[in-house]
Amino acid sequence: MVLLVTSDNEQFVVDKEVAERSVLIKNMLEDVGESDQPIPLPNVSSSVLKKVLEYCEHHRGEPLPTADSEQNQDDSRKRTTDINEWDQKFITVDQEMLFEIILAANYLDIKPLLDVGCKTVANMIKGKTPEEIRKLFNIVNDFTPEEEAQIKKENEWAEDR
Amino acid sequence: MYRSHSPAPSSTSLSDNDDEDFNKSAFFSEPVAATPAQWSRMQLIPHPGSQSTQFSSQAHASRLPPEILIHILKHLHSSRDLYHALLVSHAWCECSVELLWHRPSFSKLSTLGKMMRVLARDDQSFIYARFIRRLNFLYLGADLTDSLFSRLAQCVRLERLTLINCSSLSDGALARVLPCCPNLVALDLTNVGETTDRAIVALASSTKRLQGINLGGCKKLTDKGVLALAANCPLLRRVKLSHVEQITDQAISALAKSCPLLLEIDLNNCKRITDASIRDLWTYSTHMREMRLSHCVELTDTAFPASPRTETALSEVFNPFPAALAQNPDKLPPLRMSRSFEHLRMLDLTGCSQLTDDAIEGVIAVAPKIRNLVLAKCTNLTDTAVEAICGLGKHLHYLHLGHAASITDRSIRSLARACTRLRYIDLANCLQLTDMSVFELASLQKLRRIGLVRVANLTDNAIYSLGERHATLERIHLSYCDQITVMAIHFLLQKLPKLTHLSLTGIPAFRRPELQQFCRDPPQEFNTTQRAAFCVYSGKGVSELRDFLNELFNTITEEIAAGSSTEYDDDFEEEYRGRHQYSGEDMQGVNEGDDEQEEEEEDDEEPTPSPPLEAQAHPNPPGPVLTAPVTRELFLTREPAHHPRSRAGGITLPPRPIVTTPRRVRGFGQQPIVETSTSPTPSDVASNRSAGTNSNGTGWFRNYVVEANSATLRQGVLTPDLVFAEIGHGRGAGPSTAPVPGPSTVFIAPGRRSLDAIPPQVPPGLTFGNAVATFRTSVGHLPLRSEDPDESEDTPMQIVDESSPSAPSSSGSEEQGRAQDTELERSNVHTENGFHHSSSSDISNGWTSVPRDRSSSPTTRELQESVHSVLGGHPAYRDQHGADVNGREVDARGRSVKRSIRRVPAADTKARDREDPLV
Repeated sequence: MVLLVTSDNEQFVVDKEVAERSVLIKNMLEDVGESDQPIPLPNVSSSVLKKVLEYCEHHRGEPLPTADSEQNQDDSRKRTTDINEWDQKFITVDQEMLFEIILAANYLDIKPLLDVGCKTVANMIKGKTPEEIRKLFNIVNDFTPEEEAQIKKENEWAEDR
Repeated sequence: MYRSHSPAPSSTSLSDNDDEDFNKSAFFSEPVAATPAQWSRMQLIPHPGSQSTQFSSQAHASRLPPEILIHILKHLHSSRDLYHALLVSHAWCECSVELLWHRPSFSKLSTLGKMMRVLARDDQSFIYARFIRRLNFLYLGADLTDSLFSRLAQCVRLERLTLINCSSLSDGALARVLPCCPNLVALDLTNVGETTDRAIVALASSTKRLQGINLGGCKKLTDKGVLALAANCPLLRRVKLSHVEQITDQAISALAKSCPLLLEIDLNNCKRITDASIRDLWTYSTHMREMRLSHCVELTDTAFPASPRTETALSEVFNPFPAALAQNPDKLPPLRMSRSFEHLRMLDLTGCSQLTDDAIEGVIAVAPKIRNLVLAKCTNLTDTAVEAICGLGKHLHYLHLGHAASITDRSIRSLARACTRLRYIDLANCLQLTDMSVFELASLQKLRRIGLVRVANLTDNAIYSLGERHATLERIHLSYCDQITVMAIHFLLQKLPKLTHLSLTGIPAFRRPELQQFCRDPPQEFNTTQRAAFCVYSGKGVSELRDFLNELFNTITEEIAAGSSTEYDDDFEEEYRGRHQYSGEDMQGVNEGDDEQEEEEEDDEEPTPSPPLEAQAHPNPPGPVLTAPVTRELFLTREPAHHPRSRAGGITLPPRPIVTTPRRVRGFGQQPIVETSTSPTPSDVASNRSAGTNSNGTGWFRNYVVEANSATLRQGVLTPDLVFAEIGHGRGAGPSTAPVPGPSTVFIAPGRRSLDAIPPQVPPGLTFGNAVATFRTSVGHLPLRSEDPDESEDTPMQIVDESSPSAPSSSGSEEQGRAQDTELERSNVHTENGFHHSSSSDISNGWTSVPRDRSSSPTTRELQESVHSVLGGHPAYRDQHGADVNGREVDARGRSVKRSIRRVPAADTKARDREDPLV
């Protein structure tokens, strides 16, 4: 078992196998060796970690992506933005949580979870106009009109088809 | 300036993957744009990163670190989505712009024009040209001009460039631009015809990292260019020189010696290549994974590792440098290999017709893990080669032995037992094979595709065995296996849910409009005869055929149960015309559904024209005998002894004018039941059949002259089609060489409808098959498309062998449809004159065909029908129509055997001369 401590000082006791879905934690455990020392996760809040652990629990035992296979997996992952049913349900959360999960997955180095999160965001972006995207994510358009016009012109070929 | 972390060029250099990649939505296969792109000018706006404070209370898209935003944007596959993301904000723009330009895709010239104009500007927001890593101009082809292409000189980071079919490019432009892309890893110049040594020498001088190059079809290229590549590009792994016909041993030997990483070489149709350089490949290129040496006609056994057998026979000293003897090619010693070719997975020796079993034995001895072995048209191969191939065991997945006419059931049996993971096997034109081979092959658990084109010995038993054992089969090629019956195919379809492709071209039983309506459109380049014989079902055509037969058989069974027989009226063709017309468009899309394009190309067989032969031998003068419409037997079972009393429709009567009346067009099997009269005894029927048909015990199509009386009786009635069926038996496993006593009509026990109940060997009288046999179809006249006497033998026979994987698949049938009409017209003229080109055309018997008005609307067709019906009583009409059918059928039956024999040499020679264009 592994003891994880979140940014808001909550403690989680987790199966080693589950915790090691996170490459960060896996490496830490390997470095530290067997120890009862709690592992601090200052960038992850308890609500997010709960969610992340739910994911790790569900996917425990699955082979971790190795460095070798990464390239290939990358290919196949990009080829599709399909997300399997369980993951789909899992990731159906509000936008704030979605981004928190993505950030946590990135920090904890849980590649499959990061992908699920990023695909979900990508799916939200698909088919939207720039203005709709800004609205969706509350982003300010910081282009000057001239800049915007030029960027538009330079890249408008991409809209052909 | 662009501040890239400068990702290394991808380590994988799959030049051949480019085309593939292009069609996938996969965006990148290498790390790219892990950092935001740098603007070409200083920005006046606050850096987006500083904004994040505004939203720091929330986890926000705008607070995401750039690398995560990039990771998200990588999942956007369409340029349009990326473009929209690009316009969101500065931060998003920086993260998406390189993704957008990494591999710009365009299918229109105007798009490329816009892009290139941007690259030409001085005030670009980014230095866009530096983002471009991959370009594929496949979709522009000849539209890509030198001036547009010249812009690429700015794309200094370009890694992969695909210029397939960009035939307008001049050699000068290539020589100018290509050296500007020193990072090129893969270059595809397939069919860029102007490519000369100059361009390739220039390329070689700068692109030291080149790993893959495809020069297929660059016919102006000579050894000089390839020698430059060999000298300058030591990392070359994939070299494709298909049809670079001037290439000689010198260039290939140089590649072998200076590119140690070589793992793929394609020398398809490099006809000047001889044993010497191929020996160098075996000697130096130990990483070789794929070797395509198809149609290197000069190659002999000496090009290949010596067979272990000769090794013991000859007591020569081992010579580690056989290439040293290249000057004296006649005296090349046996090639002894010190290392094995563990990595060799694919070897294509199509058309290397000088090869013998020794070469195959030698290859297998050193390359034990070959997965794909293509030996099509290696006509000298015998069972010995196949026994050697057995040594590949479970490694072998794909085997093509088309035209290896000497191989027998014996070796195929060993093969099926040794190479248990075969997924694809082609034995087209292996004429000695019988049902036994198929029984053995049917035990292969992974078999997905089996090619048995023109294995004429095959009978329904083979089909039953395939159906019984295979849930995995997806593609089956049975064209020209002319003993196959509809019943067997019906069984097969019921058993094989995964079937997506079924070719039945040239099988008499399927030369019926109501069955052909589901097949896909014949390839454009087919002539009328070929089109008539064409019968390839794919995609939804397979399921339509399955449903149709299923319904048909159910209907028939019910009707049998009801105690009445079904008749089909003779207006079949009319009916067909209507349907076909519509189905033509419907079927258009079928090809698209086809799964494996690669297979597609080599799979379909070309409908070879019609059965050859002796028009003279079977003159079919339009005489009274032939005047009546003929019924064709739809189902052929193997039970000769079953002769229940014949039923209503199943009778042959002395030919008499048939009076037909207008009827409505109806579907097969949906006709009301009609009582018919006076049935002749089976023996009568038999006596009416053409002589010689039964003598070999083969059950071919039988023709029956429809009894005039019954026709008359049917007058004005909605008459069902008669399905003339009969029991015959095939060669091969069939019990008999004894003559079949006569056509037999068989009754089925009512209630016996389950297809599953059909055993592979149809037992007499008790099977559904026999039941079905009871039904007959009378066909008024054959569809014209089946009889085009002229051209029939012009048809390339190689359709049959489907052995050349590189053959382009044919498509585009609309035009053909139009062309066909014209051809039909023409052929009619010929036929009416009794004119024929070829003695082997069984349709050149002087009977005529009815011009079909394919354009007629259903209404028009009904009209035509009625006209025909009225004319039906007229002798002239009868001559024309009845004779057609009759003559043809008789021929078809009587000649089948000879046909199958004769075709072979023709197919062989022609096949050698040409690539199979039609598969």
